[in-house]
Amino acid sequence: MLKRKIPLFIVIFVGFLTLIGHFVTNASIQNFVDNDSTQWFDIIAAFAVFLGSLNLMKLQIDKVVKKKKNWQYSVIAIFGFAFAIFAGFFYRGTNFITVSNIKSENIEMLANVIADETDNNADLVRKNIEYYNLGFAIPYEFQFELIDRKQFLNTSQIENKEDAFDFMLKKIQEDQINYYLNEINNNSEYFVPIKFLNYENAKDFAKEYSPYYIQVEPDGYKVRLDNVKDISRLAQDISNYKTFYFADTSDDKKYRKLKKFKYNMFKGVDKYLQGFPISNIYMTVSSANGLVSKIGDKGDCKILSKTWGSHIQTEGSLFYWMFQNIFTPLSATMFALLAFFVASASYRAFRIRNFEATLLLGSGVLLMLGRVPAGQVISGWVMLYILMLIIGVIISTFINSKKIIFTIVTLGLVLITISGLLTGFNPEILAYISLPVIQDWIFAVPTTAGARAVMIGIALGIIGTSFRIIVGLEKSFLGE
Amino acid sequence: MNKFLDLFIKLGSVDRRIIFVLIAVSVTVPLIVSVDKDVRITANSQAVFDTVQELPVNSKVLISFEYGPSTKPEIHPMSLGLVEHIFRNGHKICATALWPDGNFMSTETFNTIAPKLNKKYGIDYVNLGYKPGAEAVIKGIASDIATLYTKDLKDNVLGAIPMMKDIKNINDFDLVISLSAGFPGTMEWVQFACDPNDIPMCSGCTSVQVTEVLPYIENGQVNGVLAGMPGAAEYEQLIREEFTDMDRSSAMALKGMPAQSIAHIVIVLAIALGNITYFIQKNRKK
Amino acid sequence: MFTIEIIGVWLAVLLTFSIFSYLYDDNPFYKAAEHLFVGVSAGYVAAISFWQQVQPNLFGRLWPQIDPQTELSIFGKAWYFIYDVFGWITSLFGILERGVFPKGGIEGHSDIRIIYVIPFILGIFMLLRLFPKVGWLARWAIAYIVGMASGLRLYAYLNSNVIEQIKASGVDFSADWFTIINKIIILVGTIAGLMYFFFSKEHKGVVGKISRIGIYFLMISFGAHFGFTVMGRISLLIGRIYDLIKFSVAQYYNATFWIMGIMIIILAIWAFKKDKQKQPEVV
Repeated sequence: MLKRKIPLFIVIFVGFLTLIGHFVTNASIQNFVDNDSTQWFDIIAAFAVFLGSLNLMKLQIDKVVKKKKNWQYSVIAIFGFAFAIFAGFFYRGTNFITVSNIKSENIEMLANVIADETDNNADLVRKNIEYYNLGFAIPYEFQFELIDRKQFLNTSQIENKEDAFDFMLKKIQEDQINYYLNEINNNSEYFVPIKFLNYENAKDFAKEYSPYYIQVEPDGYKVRLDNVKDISRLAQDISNYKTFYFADTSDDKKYRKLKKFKYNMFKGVDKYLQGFPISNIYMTVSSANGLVSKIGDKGDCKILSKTWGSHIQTEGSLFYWMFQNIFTPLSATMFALLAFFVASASYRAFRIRNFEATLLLGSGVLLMLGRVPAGQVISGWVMLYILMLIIGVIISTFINSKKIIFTIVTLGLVLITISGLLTGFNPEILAYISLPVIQDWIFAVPTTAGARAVMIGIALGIIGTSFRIIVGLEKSFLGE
Repeated sequence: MNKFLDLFIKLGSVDRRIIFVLIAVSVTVPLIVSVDKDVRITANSQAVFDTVQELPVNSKVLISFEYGPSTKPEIHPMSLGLVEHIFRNGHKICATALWPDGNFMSTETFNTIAPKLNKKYGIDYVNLGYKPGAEAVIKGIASDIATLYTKDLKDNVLGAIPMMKDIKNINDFDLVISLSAGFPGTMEWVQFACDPNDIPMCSGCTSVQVTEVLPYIENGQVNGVLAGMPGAAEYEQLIREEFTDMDRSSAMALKGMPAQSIAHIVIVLAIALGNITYFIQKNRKK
Repeated sequence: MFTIEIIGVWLAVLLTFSIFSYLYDDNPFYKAAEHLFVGVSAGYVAAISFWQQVQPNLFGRLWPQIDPQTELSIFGKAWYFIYDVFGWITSLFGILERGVFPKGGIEGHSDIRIIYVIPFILGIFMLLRLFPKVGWLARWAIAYIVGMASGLRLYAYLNSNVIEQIKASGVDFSADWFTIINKIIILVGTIAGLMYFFFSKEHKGVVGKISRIGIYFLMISFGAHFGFTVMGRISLLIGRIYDLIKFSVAQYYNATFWIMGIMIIILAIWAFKKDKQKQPEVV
């Protein structure tokens, strides 16, 4: 029961569910099929990858334990696996340096040191440090601030994160109110930049600031105000309405946004307090220390590591080093090796035994020559000669007399040569049968036809098998 | 005459190591001497170029990196060419990978091109990284990227990336490009993303895969395909004709084409020689 | 000075030549490199799958990082206690840093999704295959994968590889004659090729003739495939040689030349010794 019926049930259930997901528009089924079920598939597939790896190691360990033939090499395989696991899970490298407490008189020198070490432009580095030294940038675009529309909080202001957050919200509010005040003052007829979903809401909002007009738009209602009375309250109301910065618990959606904003701001503050990050990444702490000693007393240095997980794609991690210098050369050379074997195999085994083999070889050779620069010099004239020889081969299957064949072929070749001499072998005249053009045609027409037949054939096979699996007829995956 | 024919038979049975040496020499020498020659543009490469060239201003392109170091010489030049072309035309790129090694390939591509053209991470391009799961991942991208990817490759939370604000799923892209070296790859992108959602698609694939993709091109399911290293070389040439300030020395595939030519000629000659030997032996048996 | 970068380059060159040495003969260099490849790639794929999929998308949904100020229910507290136990174990009982299960939850998702316990359990079942007694539980996980893949593929192949292909095979007679002829050739070739595949009866008479034409088209297609295969392999070889040339310069202490030289000498000695060992048998 558990061993056979449940897996069969899972296959049929999941198979039908996935198939139905293509056609049914039921939101919850579609959501499950499109999102969660595929996620589950991906997760289980990842476990299948683990299984494959562990199984492989089991085999190799078995070889070593039982001292089978060439077991010494299996030790290397186990070592390789252990090394990859070590690099993936135990040693991440990716050390980088951050500098804090940089005095303004030291910036120039520090920038030079860093630029020297990172092959960067010293000016650029200096600007970056100066920007860092301005303080923690409030994650909000101010309308009236000059440096990149940012305002900064210095280190003492962010010592207490809660206070810093309140202070920050106040700043944002000031900016928003100023912005809307400016807008309202500049327009005697003011369109409130809010789309109301129904007329009542629009009216409730507008009546406080009479006189008003409510305009119907395709996707809502718009309020126009003339000569607004209480400008500052209006400005505040609009900003309250439009953003989440001032939300309270009564508005769940906005409040969640606000909480997320706060959470991200706290993280940003923590990151800022770590110091100015230098872009170089070092595999070992000792190599990072080289730069630390160069920086000396120009700032307080800290050596940090990238988070776990991101280390596998960061240059400067042991894992990346392994990929670059062990995995890449091994896998690439394994494939490159095949170039030699393909060459020797085609030399030894590729024989024109019958018409089918001739087609195979002809199309292969034409493709090999037609797709590279060398093939471009083979003009229509050369092709004409080759064509004449092929005609000779074809008529030889109908006519037995060698004399007649020989005469026809020679005559043909002479004719081609004469007409060639008359036109000076101008490649333009026969451009439409030059090798690249013929190759293109073979590629685009008969090859496509054959490839399409193969494609449909394979597809029908897969559809058949999939159908048998889904309806529970095919059980080979159960190992039976 | 007989002696002459004997020579052919002898040539036909040389040690395979001699063929190996011939291949090695025919590839190595042109690379050291480094000849530079124009390539002929095939219709397919032109189609890929035109598709990218004609994208409306400020388009978003999804590039999926489905190759690794084993096929890097064929596909990496395409990645560099396509990314540079897309960036120079001012479009945005979102990168994913269906192969684990694809992460490194995409990172390398962006690290080469982005600083040169002053493109900013998070604004001009985003790299989402690899997820195992093949078709299921493509389906996930087609329906909702945020449920599949919570963070990008650089460990940023997806919601915090400016570029991802107006990208929800595959329908927000104007073009999908699959740089593919096998399964999962171009075929799966056609089946699970581009056909159902009717998104234009281009492919850059290894030579071995071309015939598999061919039927899709003939009927427009895929706009065009860059076929192997020659395809990459054609693309390199096309963008260098378009942007004259690009320098030819960075064109890796173009540099490899002379070696490719000579190696092909050596193999064709080897096949011819093998067949001549075969016919002589067959005649003698008669 | 031998930095970690230089060591890496030398290692890369050594491994490249080790694989290439197979062209001479199967030898210890090749065998060692091959086994190293097997081991490293197993660990590599496992590490990547873990950090890209399982950690963020499974554990990240089960134990997301939540705002420290929210009050957890008793159940929630117990749930995160389990998480902390995991964290404690994976950090080798507090010796190492908590990398896999960082303190306070995993960043990314915002809500706890208990339902993801199901794929977690199925995943663990998958791993149980390593133990013969309970290995059958892995069938549950395999069943999920197989069922879903079938459901996905059935529709996708039907749509993209059959229906779309048949639609595209229609001939548009308003086009120019060259296009029409090409389209007809493609149509004939496709039908003939399919005929060859699907008539399991003896290929005789009209069917036989058509499937014969089908074979011709298939052969041309396979020929092109062969040509492309050669092309691809040569391209990859070009890539490798290009790297070797890059590493032969003084900046890397001429790694290519040194390693090639040393390797040839060692291989020569090895071949000589092997010959000597063999000789008595031959005589």
